[in-house]
Amino acid sequence: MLLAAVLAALASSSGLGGLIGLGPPRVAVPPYALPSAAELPLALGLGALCGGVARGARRAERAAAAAALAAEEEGGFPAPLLPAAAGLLTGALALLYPEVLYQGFGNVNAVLAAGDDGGYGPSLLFQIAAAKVAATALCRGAEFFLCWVFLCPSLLSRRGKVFRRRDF
Amino acid sequence: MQTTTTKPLRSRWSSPAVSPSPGSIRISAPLPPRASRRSHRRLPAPTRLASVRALDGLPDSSKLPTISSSSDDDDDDDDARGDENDADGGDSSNSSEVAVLLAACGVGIATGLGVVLLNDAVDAVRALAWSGAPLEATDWGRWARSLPLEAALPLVLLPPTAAGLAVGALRAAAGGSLDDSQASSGSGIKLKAPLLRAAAAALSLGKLVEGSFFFLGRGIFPSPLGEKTHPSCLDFSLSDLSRSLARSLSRSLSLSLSLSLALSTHTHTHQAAEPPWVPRARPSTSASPSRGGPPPPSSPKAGRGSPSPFWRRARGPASPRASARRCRGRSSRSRRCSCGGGRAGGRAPRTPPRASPSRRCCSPRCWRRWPRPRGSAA
Repeated sequence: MLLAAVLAALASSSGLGGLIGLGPPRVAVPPYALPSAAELPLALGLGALCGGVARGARRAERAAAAAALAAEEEGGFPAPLLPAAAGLLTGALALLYPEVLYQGFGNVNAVLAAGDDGGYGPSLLFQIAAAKVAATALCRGAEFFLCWVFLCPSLLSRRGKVFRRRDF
Repeated sequence: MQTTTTKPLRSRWSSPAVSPSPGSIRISAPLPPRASRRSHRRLPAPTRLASVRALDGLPDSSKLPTISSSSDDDDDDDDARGDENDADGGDSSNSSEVAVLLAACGVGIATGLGVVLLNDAVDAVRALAWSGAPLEATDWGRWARSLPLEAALPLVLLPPTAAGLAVGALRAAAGGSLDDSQASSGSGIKLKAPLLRAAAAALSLGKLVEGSFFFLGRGIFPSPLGEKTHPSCLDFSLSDLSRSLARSLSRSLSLSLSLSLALSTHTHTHQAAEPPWVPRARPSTSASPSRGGPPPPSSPKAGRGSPSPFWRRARGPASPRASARRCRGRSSRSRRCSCGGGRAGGRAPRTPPRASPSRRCCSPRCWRRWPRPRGSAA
């Protein structure tokens, strides 16, 4: 398995452009230095909040799946049109929050590179995170998308700014 | 059998009078004394490479005309004996190892090429859907927000809907579901499902439907106050090389693991469609658990504490809709598992289950069925 993994990494890296390590990183993480040890306990709260968001996303996903199943079996909605309905709802959501649509890591990098004056305020990021949870639950419930990768929502991305504004 | 006539090798410590006969050649190394071995380093290279003798017609292996290889290690005697022993039964094991290595190489290269193909397909679909979008993905949000509603409707609303239609068509072609656990039992569907699923993933990704949270946010930790961020700068101890290598390795490992899991799941699904210890019907009243057979697994302690077997969990549904199919009988007032296997969150129930003969367990961690076997209290 290890040999297969290494060969797969070599093949995919060479096919996706450049050898391993020569390409730019997909996610451009800004430099960070721990200001003080007082921030370490905050990481616990950050992890707990991430867990809460994940749990809420899981529940939303189950609710969407149950709704899709009910619409299919009880409401008589044709099953092949369920992904299209989910896509329609996701597109409607994207009219308000275009970041819910997939752009690789572009959205991540946009938020990371935005800085203090990049236009992504805390309230907007909260809304984007909620919209992402809703869109993902819709797509998963309707079997539109069969992948589940949960890195970290943007819900907590402005945590430092919120605390900084309170002189924390 | 390769017939080879070998020339007898002469040395101070080997028996010179061995007449080779046609037979299989074999490398052997009954070893000389240490000083003699050093002297044989001065032999010509073809002679030093390996000692060759004919197998047939040799009465005693201790009298073989051998010349040691160019090793000074004292454990050459063991190697020599090992070579002699491996010559009989080692061929099959070597061939199986070579086959495993070749299979691993094939799986790895195929996985890497699959990743590349999927990425290219996503790029192609994206270029087809949005030709006027900015090339830089980080400007997508601002660009989409700046669009008027008339222009945003076909550019933002139409592609996900069209992708949904395409995915629905693929789903219908796959027999109703792209999920292996829900697909019909035909072998053709089982074989087609991964390809159709890959096509659906490329379509959904290319049409910019974000099914996953590729949204790391502004880092887990904020940047220092007032400091300008540099997107291309990484302030971590890991270098770019190790970071990229770790990323590629983790991706490939996850793909390989998922592939092996899928293979094992497929195998177990076909080999053991129903485990013998899962009760399908209520056992008779005269049957005692202590008289033989496997103990009932659904005793209260076992039901709460012991996890379900790996292969049983691997058969579990991969999509939330399959979980929703199981949870149809779930009460909205109580989230406790009806079969006593614990809550969906893992907590043990306090109330006895309200049994229904046709009701299945609603907890995704519990795979027991109703009716439960006799003797297992809730």
